[in-house]
Amino acid sequence: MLILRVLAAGSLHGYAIAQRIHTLSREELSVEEGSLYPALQKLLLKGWVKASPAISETGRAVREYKLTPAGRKQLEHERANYRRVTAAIGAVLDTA
Amino acid sequence: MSVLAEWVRRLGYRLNRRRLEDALQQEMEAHRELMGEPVRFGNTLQLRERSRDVWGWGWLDALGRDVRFAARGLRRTPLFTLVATVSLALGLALATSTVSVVNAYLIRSLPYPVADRLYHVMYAPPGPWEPAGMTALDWTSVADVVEFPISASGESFYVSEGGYTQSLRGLRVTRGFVEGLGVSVAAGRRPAAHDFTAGSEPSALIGHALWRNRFGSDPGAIGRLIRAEPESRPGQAERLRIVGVLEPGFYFGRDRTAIDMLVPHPAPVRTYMVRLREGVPPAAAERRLTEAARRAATSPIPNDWSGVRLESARDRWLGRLRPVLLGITVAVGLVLVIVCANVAVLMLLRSMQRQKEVAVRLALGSGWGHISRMLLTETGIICTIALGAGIAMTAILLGTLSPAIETQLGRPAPSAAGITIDTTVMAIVGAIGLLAAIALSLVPLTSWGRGMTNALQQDARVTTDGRSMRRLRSGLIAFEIAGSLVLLVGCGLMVRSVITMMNTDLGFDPAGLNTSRIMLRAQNRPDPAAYRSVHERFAASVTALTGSKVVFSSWPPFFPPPEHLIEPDAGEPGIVGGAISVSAGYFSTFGVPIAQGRDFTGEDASTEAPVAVISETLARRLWPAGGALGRRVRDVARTQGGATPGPWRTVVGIAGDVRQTYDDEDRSDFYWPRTPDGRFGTFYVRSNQPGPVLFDHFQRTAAHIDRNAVINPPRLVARDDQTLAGTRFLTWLLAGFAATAAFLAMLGIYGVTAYAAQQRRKEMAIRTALGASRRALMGIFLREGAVLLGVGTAVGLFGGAATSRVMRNQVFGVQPFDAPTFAIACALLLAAGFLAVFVAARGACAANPVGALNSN
Repeated sequence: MLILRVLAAGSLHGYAIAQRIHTLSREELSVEEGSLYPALQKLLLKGWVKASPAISETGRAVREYKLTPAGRKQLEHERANYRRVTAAIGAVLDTA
Repeated sequence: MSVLAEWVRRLGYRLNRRRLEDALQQEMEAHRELMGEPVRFGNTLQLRERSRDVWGWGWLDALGRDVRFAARGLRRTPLFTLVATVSLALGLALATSTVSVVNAYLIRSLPYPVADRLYHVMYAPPGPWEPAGMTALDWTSVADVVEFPISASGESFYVSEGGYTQSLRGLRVTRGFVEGLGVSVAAGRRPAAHDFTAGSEPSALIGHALWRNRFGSDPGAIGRLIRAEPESRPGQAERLRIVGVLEPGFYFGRDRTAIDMLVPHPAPVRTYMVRLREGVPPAAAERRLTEAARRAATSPIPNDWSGVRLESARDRWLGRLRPVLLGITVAVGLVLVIVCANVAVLMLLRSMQRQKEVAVRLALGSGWGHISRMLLTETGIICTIALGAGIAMTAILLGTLSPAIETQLGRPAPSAAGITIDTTVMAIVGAIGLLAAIALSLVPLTSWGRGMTNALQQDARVTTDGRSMRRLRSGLIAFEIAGSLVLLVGCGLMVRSVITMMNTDLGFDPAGLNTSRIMLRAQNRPDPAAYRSVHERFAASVTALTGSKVVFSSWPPFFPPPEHLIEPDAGEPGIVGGAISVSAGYFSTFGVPIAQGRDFTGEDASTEAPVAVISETLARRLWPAGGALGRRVRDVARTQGGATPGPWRTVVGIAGDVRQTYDDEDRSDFYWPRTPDGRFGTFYVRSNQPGPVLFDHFQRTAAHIDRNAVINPPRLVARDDQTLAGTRFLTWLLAGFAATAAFLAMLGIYGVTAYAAQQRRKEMAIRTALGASRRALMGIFLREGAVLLGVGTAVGLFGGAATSRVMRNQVFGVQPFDAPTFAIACALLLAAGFLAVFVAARGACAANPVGALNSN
């Protein structure tokens, strides 16, 4: 979901995605950055993102990932789900 | 939808894998370069692996690895691989062809939608006549058991439109025929209810072949009128509206000859086939039909009338074929099991050699699961190749041989497609192959179970394999020997039957005897004499042309003739015998010796004083004291009205006994002279000329005499000898099976002995060093071989006895438990077995003891 959210703003390559997640999460979330790639493969397979060849800042061939309409829909769906769940959890926590 | 898209993408990943992997690696490296502290990126290799897992197809890679690995293993033992694959391929080819035949005859059955509910109706089995009035049987009264009465009567139509005359095979059918057989059309429409009402416009369905050949598959042919002249009513052509085209290959009756015209018939006809309602047992339907037949009968029903009997359409088609097919199936099954047993023995031997390899694997931590997967892959490869080769071989063989197989079986396959490899066959054979692969892969596991760790320390000791192992191996070999013996016995019985049959004096000589039929159109012939004169002129012309006498006969050889009561003059009771009318010269053309008196001459048929020729047996039975020549005799045909006696005839000749069939024990035959005086004449001529040449002679000769005469292509009388042909076919098959099985069993016993000899080289060397003679050493192996052969033969004898009991109906002139056959089969097998043991053991015993002891 995080990757989809980051990509909603525009197409990015792998490193940039990791950076954005890092900064957006106010440096709270810093997992192994490499695990981004298996996740990206999954998104590609599901057809939620599309890859196109690009050149990185260091001049290497990389791929830029872009959200597809299906991906956008999925993001909305997951966002809504997430909100519902957090709201529910919040409600439980507040009343208890 | 999205699932499908995902699959397509997955497939794309699979196809472009190398490129994608490169791209991923590049990307990851770029990422690491950009990072301040690359350690946080994680394990690149593992991440790549995980990405690949996302793409899927991991199992395919694993399988590919397994297959490559197994193939390497198999290549290391090329001889084993070759022998195992080839023998399995042969076994599976046999299995495939048998399954194809069984599928064509027993599984696919007749090509009608509910063929299993179709029954033939017999109003008077097995009596010579049926109650009168059956045409008016009230089928609505049995509608609760009979879904459709199916009736049809054959009719030939002549169609002369478009330049040439064509004779068409037609059927006049009732509504029940169309509904009951589920007649379907390739074009146009099925006949509807109104087509069967009297006074409606006559309509017809035409056969697919006729549509293709005469109308060029023109859809416009439907709706057209066709002018057809029925054979039964010459000159009264019918104008029929073509309403549809039958499915290709639609047939009805005894053979698969396609129907050209199906004409709806409004009037009731006698019904000889029914389609029962679902779930109605035939016995119940028989009771109801018997009651209905009693009600409908217009003549008194004899007391011994057995009632209406039903026979399943499928059973009638298969006739005596079912036991033959089942026998072949069992034999092939046995051969296949022997093949598998043999490959299993080979695998056991190979697994002994691989013990060390497997022990190392286990020691290195590979589980039994891995080992079994490796074995399954290996046998899987062998079986897959063998299966492919087997099916390919069968496909090629069936392509050329299937008509021959149908001829040999004496009956075409009921389905219009003939004998082919269809999906059913593929599924069955595939299952057999899979089963074989699994069973075979389990075999080495049994030998590796316990004490694998010992295998690694075995250098110190003389290696011998476990007792259970040896037992399994010996059991397999003994089983092979037993199975081979069973097949050999079966084959031996058949060979004896064929020899007995060929040595049986039929009383006439079928070699070179051709038969054909002349048919005259029912036109312009005022009386029987006119017909007779045509037949006589035709016979005389052909006789002049071929140089051998043409004769007519009312009854073909190899079929039991109609039985009449033959009465002698003296007023004594008659004797039941075969009655055949034949033309002048019959006995000389057929090669039947005349014991006393003379053959019929041209004048006999027309003279005022009727004459007859009787067989020797009949003469002896009628006049035991002798002197039959010159006595008076007559035949009495038993018909519905009672008995119609023929005229009193003088016996002018006594002919040799003729066997009409191989088991014809009663050779009392009565012949009277007659040249056909109707439209049809079946004639015989002895000639060595090929069929097409004779056919040409016949046609030219007939055309000279009557332009409209139709001649059937001649065929050899010996062709009708289906008993001999069938027996011979079965003999060849069984001989092939038995030879294969025996060869494999010998290979097995050779392999096992050779292996044992190799294993015990040290032991033998020590024995030799201690002074044992070669003869004594050979004795050890021969004794072990003798136990195997003895047990195998003993079991095989029981199996053989059971087989001969089953084959009771297939053998002729041989006692079921035929001692010579059993003795010869045993002797052959034992001799071959000991030879195999001897050859295998000789090498081991001849080896230099010093060399054997020094090795290792």
